[in-house]
Amino acid sequence: MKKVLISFMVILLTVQCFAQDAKQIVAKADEKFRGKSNFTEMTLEVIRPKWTRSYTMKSWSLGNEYSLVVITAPASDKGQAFLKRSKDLWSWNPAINRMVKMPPSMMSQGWMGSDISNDDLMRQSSLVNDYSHTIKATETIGGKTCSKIELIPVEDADVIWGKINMWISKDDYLILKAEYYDDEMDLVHTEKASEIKTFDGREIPSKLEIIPASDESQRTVMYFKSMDFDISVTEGFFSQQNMKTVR
Amino acid sequence: MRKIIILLVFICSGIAIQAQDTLKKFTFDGYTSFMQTVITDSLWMTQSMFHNRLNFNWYPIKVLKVNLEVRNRFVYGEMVTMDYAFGEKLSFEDRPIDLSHNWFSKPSWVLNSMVDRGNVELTLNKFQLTLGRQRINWARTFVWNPNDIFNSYSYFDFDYSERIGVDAIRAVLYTGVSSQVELVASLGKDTSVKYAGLYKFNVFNYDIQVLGSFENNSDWTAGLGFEGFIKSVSLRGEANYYKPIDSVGFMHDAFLGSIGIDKIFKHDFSVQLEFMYNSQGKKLPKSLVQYIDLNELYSTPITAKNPSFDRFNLFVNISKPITPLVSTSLAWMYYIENNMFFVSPNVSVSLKENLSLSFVGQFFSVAAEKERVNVLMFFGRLKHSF
Repeated sequence: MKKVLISFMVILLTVQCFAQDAKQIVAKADEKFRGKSNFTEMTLEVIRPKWTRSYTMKSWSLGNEYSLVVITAPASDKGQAFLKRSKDLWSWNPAINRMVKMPPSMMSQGWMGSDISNDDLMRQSSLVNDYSHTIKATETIGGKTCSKIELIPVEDADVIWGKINMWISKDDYLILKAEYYDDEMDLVHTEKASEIKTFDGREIPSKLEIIPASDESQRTVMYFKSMDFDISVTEGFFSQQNMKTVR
Repeated sequence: MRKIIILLVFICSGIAIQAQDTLKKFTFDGYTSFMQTVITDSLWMTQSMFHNRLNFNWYPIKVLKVNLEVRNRFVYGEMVTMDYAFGEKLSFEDRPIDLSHNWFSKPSWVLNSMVDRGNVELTLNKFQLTLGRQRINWARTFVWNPNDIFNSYSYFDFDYSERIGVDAIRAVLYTGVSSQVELVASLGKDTSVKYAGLYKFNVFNYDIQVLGSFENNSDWTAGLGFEGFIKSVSLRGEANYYKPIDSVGFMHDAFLGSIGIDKIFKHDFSVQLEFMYNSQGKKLPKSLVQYIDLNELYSTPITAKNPSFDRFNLFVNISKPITPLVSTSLAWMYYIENNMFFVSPNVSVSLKENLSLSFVGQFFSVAAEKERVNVLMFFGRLKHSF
C-alpha cells in the first residue's frame, strides 16, 4: 500500500511538474507576443472565396484588463473606437458623437463579420491564469520543434473556449499554431502564425491566419505592421476621453 | 453652365479622396450617395437625391482641433415639382444662425449646401472647450431619447444620422476614466439661450447620468439616464421632467421616459426592444386622422421634448447578417393609443470596400374613421464613403 501511495505521489508530482512546465511555457509565449503592455498597428483581412474586405486599426493594451482599439480604415468605419476596462466595454461612433455601453458577452461575438471574436482582439481572458496546462506531445511546425500544450479552462473561469491546443516552439517560445474548441469540444477555428519579423527587438510572427473549422475556404488574416512592447501606458490611458481623441 | 458647376461639386469630392491623409495635421473624409425615394399614399411620387458629405479636421497645434462638416444635396423629381415650397423646406434649419443655402431652387430641382458642424475644440489635459456648431449627443437608448436635449435623433431619417449640430459653447471636465461633467450654453429659437449641465459616472458597471437645463422663454428640465447590462442583455433608459417657466402660460408639465433592452445572440442575430411613455401624447380624433398628411407627421423635426405624438410607444427590431456583406433588419413601431403602426425592412449590401447599397421600406398605417390610412415609402441608396 505504501508503495502504491508513494508511486501515486510521484506520479502526482511529475504531473504537477509537467503542469508547471507547461504553464511556464504558455506564460513565456504569451509574454513574448503581448508584453506587459503593447501598441499594435495591424491590418485585418476577411477573406472569402469570392471577396475580401480589409480593416486597419491601432490598438493599445495593458495586461488582460485594459484595451483600446481604433479603426483607421475603411472610410465608413474610420474613427470608431472600442474601450475595455475589466467588465466595462464601450463603443464610440464619431459621426454621431455617441458612446454605447456593451455587455461583456459581446466579447465572444465575431468582430465585424470576421472569424475572430472581440476577445481575440481585446483579450479578456488570460491564457495563463484562466486555464490549466498539460504538455501532450512534441511536434514540428514550420521547421520548428514545438511542444503541443492542451489548455483546459479552470473552474469558474470566465472564458469563451472549452479547450485550446497550442503548439509553442521550444527554443523561442512562439505560438505557431493553436486550435480553439467550444464547450462541446467541437473545433471552432485554427490559428496559424508565420512570417517571423523583428518588432521592438522581439522576433515574432507578423502574420496570423484564423481558419474557421466550419469552412476551410474562409479565413481572417491579421498582418502586424508595427508592434511596441512594454510601452509607458497606465490604466488612466484607457479612458473615454482618449477613446474619442485617438487617431 | 450650372450643370457644370454641379458636376464640379461631385468631381471635387472625388479628387479630394486622393488627398486624404497625406498630412496628419489635416484630415478629410466623407461620403457621396445617390438615393431614390418612391412614396405612395393616394398617388405615386418619386424623388432623387445626390447627397455629399465633406468632413474636414485640422489640428494646427496639439491642443487644438478645428472641425468643419458640410452637407450638399441636389434633389429633383416629382416630390420637388409638386411642392412649391420644397426648396424653402429643404433649406430650413431650426437654428438662429442660418448656415444653409440654396444655390439654386428651381421648380423641379434644388441644390443646397449646409454647414452642420463648424467648431473649434481646445483640450487642456482633462478639460475640453468646444465653441461653435457641434453635435451634443446625450442619448442612452436607441429610438426615443428624452435626454438628448440638443440634437434629437430621428429613426425615420436614416439617411442623416449625423443630424444638424447646435450652436453652443460646451465645457467638459473628465473627472475620471469613465466620468465627466459637462456645461453647455446653446442658442435656441429667437433670443432664447439654453443652459444645461450633465454629470455622467460609472458605478457597478452601469453608466449613469443626471442632467438639467433651463431655457429662457421656455422651460426647466431635469433628467436621468443609464446604460448597463444584466448578464448578456443590455439595459438602457432615459427620463426627463419638464416644467415651463411661469411666463409661458400655454405650456404644461411634461414627463417622458424610455427604456430599452437589446441582446446579440449567436451568429450576430440581434433583438432590440424599446418602450416610451410621453405624458403629452394624445389620442388623435379618428375624424382628423384621415386628413393628416402622414409624411408631414413624421418629417417634422423631432425634439427631445416631443419625440412622438402618442402616449405609449413600442419599438421592436430584429437584425441578422446573412453574410458579412449582407445585413438585414426588420423594425416595427406601435403607437398604442392611436392604433398606428410603422414597419421598416432594411437590406444593406457591401458591394466593394467603400461602396454600399441599401434598400429600406417604411410603411405607416393608422386607423381613421372609415378605413386605415396607409403610406408606403421605398428608398434605394448607393453610398460611397471616402
